[in-house]
Order: sequence, then structure tokens, then C-alpha cells
Amino acid sequence: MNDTSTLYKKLQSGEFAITAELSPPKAPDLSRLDKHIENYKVGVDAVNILDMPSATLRMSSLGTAIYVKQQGLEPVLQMTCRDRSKLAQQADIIAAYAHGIRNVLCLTGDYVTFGDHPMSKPVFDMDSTNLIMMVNQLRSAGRAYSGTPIADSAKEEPFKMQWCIGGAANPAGNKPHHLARTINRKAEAGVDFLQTQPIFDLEAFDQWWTALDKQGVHDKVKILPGILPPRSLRGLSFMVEHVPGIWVPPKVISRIENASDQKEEGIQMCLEIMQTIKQKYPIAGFHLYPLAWTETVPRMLKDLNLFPAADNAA
Amino acid sequence: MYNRVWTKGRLYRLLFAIEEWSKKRVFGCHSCGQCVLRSTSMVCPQTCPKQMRNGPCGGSMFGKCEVFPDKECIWTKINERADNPAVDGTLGMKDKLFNKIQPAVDWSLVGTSAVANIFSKKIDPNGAIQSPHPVPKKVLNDLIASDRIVEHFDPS
Ligand code: SF4
Repeated sequence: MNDTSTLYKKLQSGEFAITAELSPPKAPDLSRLDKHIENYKVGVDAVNILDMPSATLRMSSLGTAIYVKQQGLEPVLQMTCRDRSKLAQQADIIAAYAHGIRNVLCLTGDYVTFGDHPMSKPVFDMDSTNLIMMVNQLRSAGRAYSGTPIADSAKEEPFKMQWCIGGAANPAGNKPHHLARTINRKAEAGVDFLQTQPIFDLEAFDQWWTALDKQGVHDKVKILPGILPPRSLRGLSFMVEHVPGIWVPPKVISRIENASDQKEEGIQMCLEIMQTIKQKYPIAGFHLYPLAWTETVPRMLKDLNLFPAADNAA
Repeated sequence: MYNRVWTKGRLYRLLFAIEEWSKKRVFGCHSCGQCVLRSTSMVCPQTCPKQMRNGPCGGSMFGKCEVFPDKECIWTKINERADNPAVDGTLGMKDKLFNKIQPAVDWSLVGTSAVANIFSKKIDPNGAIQSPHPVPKKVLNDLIASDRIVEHFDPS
């Protein structure tokens, strides 16, 4: 059985970690991901393989994660509660582990009506906090949801899968002390790290962080703020309208709107946000949402001096 | 969907109908059979499109529901009510919302009477199911440390 996750080791040792996102293709052709995988290979520690984002049909995250792993990049398997029951979720988790996947991101999932199959059944057999608790139990006790041991015979010791467990947090949109309650419950459930929704509003982020600080929550979990470089005003407005849970203050929209080069302005803005956050708060790393614009990732990491030193010289 | 209540006797169905009718009128009850109202500021979490039992989903924005934006997110209601000293005082809501994790719905209880399930000890008065389910990290680690893990999961 091979080793534990490198992301986990990095987070535990306090090294700065970078994660990013990769959306599986719709057509059964994995080579379409190759150029993105290349862009991620240097500097990105692990990449989230999305589980049908916005409830739109795609290849399964498990199938894609196996491919990404074979290509030499560490995957984070996204698991939503939207489409699978307790049984199906655990079956996929065991299969992923057997294929060498060591990171799992536990999400509730966007509702089915957002996507192209609004007539599909929303399962939601549990919520993200319960999913975290379930994976933690598989990890520390080798016991399934129902308590049955993960073993093929009564004589065998239960198998303890060494998962690195992630979750999501949305720092905007609700009262910070209300959000702190949810995060504390995720921490109690056994989450190791939390990736946030894209941050555009530093004020809201600060209020959220202060609330976590006050209640002693952020010491319990590693936090990776989300960063999304907007490619154009159109892309940004589309996201605000169609992707749930993203808050973009009007001054950010007008900044992109008035820029002569919207692409460059988007990157500059993200770099500023990253620099401020990195200086002010004890974060564990960043989570990048470049969408299909993965070429910008090496450049952003270089500008922030987060690129591995050996590759900087090249 | 098949409703378990049809496997029960007549008296059970009559009492269940009364419980269901009254709880539906007041709380929008969905008869999950494991009533957690006392742990969710008396707001039924089954009225959430995603049945979130441990806090809002990531799409809850400015008090509005991700799925039906003209409706209030139930978790805004739960959290706002918990901030009210009277509610917090009677139900201990702040502590519950901060520290207590609600297990996922046990589908073998859906469509049965929560009141009957309290009497038969399938759930406790706060709605915590007594059937097997994962436990929080600290509880689990204590079980492992004290070597009570087998006892906890395979009581016999
Ligand atoms: S926004 Fe609130 S009510 Fe709507 S699905 Fe999410 S948690 Fe449930």
C-alpha cells in the first residue's frame, strides 16, 4: 500500500501549499486534460477533481482522478452528497483509495436545478459535515458508516485508510459568527483543511477571520483562501449570476470594467489580494480557481515567489 | 415514495396522522421520524432543499436560499433565533450549534412517529438517533484510546 498524501504532509509541517481545480471533460477523452495537467505540474501541490460542478453532467471525479494520478499529479477527489447514498459514497471512497488517491474533499454539492439535469433526483443522504465525519471514521477506526469493519474476514484487522480530509467554507454572504459555528462543527467532525470560495472582498474576509479567531476556530483547521483570476468582465458577471455562493463587490466589477486590459487587470487584482492575505493572516496556502485559464497559474505563482526555487531559475 | 407508516397498525397510523398533521401545520414537518427541532431553534431542517442538518450550504447568500432565492435560507432563521437570548436560554442553542453535530437522517425511521421513537428509545428527546452512525473526531479518538471501539460498534 503506498504512502500518505503529500498535501497532508505539507499542511502538517506548516509548509505553504497550493491547490487548484480541474474540471473533468464531458466527452470520454482524457487527453483533453493534458495541457492543464502540464500547467499544474510545477508549483501546484494537489488538484481538486470536480464532481459535476453546478450539477452539470461530466465524467466522474473518480475516473478522472485516477488518470490525473497516473500522469504524476496529486489529485484531491471531490465528493458531493448530491448524487450518492451512504453506500455509494463509501464504495467510491474505497475504490479511490485502492487507486492511490489520498485526498478527499467533502462537499454538499450544488443543487440539481442549476445544471443540465434538473429532473434528476437530488439525493443528499447526508450533509458535508456528516461526510467528513464518515471519512474520519474510515480513517481512524477502519469502520464504515454503520460501524461495520473495513475487512474481508472477521479475523482481519479493520483497514484504516489514511485520508487527508478537506472541506469548503464560504467567508461571505452570512454573519461571520454564524459561519464560525458551521466551521467549528466541521473541525469537530475531523476536517484537516478548508478551501474557501473565491475571495474578492477583503473586508468580508477580515470580518470572517476575526470571528474565527475570537472563537478559537482557526487553530483547529488549515485554511486555504480561494483565488479566482477573472479573465474578462463577461466571465465575471456570468459567474456572479450563475455560480452559487460567490460574492463580488461592485468596486471589483467596476475595476475590471474600466481596465484597458481586462485579463491583466484580473491577474494584478488577484496578486494584490494574495499578497495582502498572505502577509496578514496565518493561512496554510491558497486554492486557485483558474477555470480553463490554467496558463496563468505558473505566472501567478512566479510573481508571488511561490514557485519552487529550482524552477525559478529556468 | 414508499411510506413506512403503511407497515404499522391502525392505532399507530391514527396517532401518527395527528402528530404529522399538527407538526406539518406549525413547522412544515416532513416526518423524518427523528425530530431535531429542539436542536435547530424549532426550524425543521427537512424543509431545506438539501436537508442540511449542520449549518448552511455554501450557496446561502445574505439570508437567501441558493435553490429558491425568494425564500429565506433556513439556516439564517436557525442562527438568528439562536442569537435571541430567550431561545438560547431555553434550548441552549448557541452551544448546540457550535459544538453538536447532528447525524445524517436514518432512513429506516423516515415515515414513522418521532414521539413513538422517543418512547421506544430509537431517538433521544433532542432528536439524536440511537442507531449506528459516525461520531465526532474527539469522541472517536477517546473510544480508540480507551480500547472501547469494539464494544461501541459491536455491542453483543
Ligand atoms: S441556502 Fe440554506 S435553505 Fe437553501 S439549500 Fe442551502 S442551506 Fe438549505
